Amino acid sequence: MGNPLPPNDVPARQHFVTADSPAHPASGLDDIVHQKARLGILVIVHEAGRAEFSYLAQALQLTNGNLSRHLRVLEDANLLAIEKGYADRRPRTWIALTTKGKRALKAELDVLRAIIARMPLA
Amino acid sequence: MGDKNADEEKEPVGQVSREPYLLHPSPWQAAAQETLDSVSRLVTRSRRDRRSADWLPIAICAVLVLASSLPALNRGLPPVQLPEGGYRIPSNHPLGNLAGWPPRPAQGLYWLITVPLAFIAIAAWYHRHALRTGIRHPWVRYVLVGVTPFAVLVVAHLLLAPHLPRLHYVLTQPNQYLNPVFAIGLGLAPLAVMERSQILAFTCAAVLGYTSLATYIEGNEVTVYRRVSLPAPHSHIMMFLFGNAGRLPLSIAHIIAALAWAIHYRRTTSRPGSTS
Repeated sequence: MGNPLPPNDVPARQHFVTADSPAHPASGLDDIVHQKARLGILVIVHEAGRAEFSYLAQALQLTNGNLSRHLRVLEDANLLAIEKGYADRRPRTWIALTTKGKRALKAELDVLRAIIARMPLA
Repeated sequence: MGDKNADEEKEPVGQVSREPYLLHPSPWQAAAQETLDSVSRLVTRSRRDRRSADWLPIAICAVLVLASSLPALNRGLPPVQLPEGGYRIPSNHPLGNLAGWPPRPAQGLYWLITVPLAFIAIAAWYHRHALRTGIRHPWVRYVLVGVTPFAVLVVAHLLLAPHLPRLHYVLTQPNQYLNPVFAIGLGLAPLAVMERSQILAFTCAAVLGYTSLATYIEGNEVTVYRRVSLPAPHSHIMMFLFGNAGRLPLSIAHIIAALAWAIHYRRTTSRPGSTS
């Protein structure tokens, strides 16, 4: 009773998926990239160009160990390049996006936009 | 209920149009919208942190131009009134034409020393900013690209002139676009592209546009009156705006813009909760 009903001119709801139904955009989501923290890492590094470990940890509010694990996953997938060095007598870890990482991030955002743009089953 | 209203007020992502009967998104859509919103917040934060250093290059550029224009206030030769009407700016101006290469060695030395030092200072500033904030700028690449217009200018003036007078003439006369101020403006262009900074792009466009206009008006040594088609009394204003002393308002405006930029970012970064 409380649920809003669609107007009469709305197409009838499709109750089942047939073999020739178009795939849901969510099927294009990459599990490695779609994870919230990892997506945040990719977004920040893409915008920053090159970001330091501590900046990512602070921006994403992750512990060092947690961030390291996510970075390892992304590095193993060749989405990130990690460079270690020293500056001001402190060890620094700089993270940059690879070409594959840029493509993966763009694909992920495209899928998310496609999901939102997809007309829901009324 | 309040949250629902807040969600409905948010800007749609991309070119999504929400029909009235689609105000209740599916769980997939709600999750995707939430993810894109958090992505947008992260982009905003990273962009703000990266651009918080952009005020110094603008200030350095402005100070260089300002310092070069100060001597013209006291030593500028008055424009010559022509019998047929209008005014002509003498070519033996203390700083040369506004856009021209300074004819005196000391003035040339000023640009030769200050411009490379300015780029080194900008590079050091970005390097320090990177260590402080955790966002690294490609400052080595920027210095190489940014110094290139000035290096081309020096080569054109110092090396081409004796050997290729014809090419030198084409490059530097009559419009004389190869000039220090123009080179500084060109040097800011790659920085604006690399930093994706609108204020740097605006500064670059202002410097290049102003210098081009000044070159068009003054570089050809034609009468200001004819060139801008203004009555004689207004020619004085045009000559001030586009003469050597006219660099004052340009550089002062840039210094004000740079300070406003710095204060704005200092305020936003120190605001509680703004960094989350």
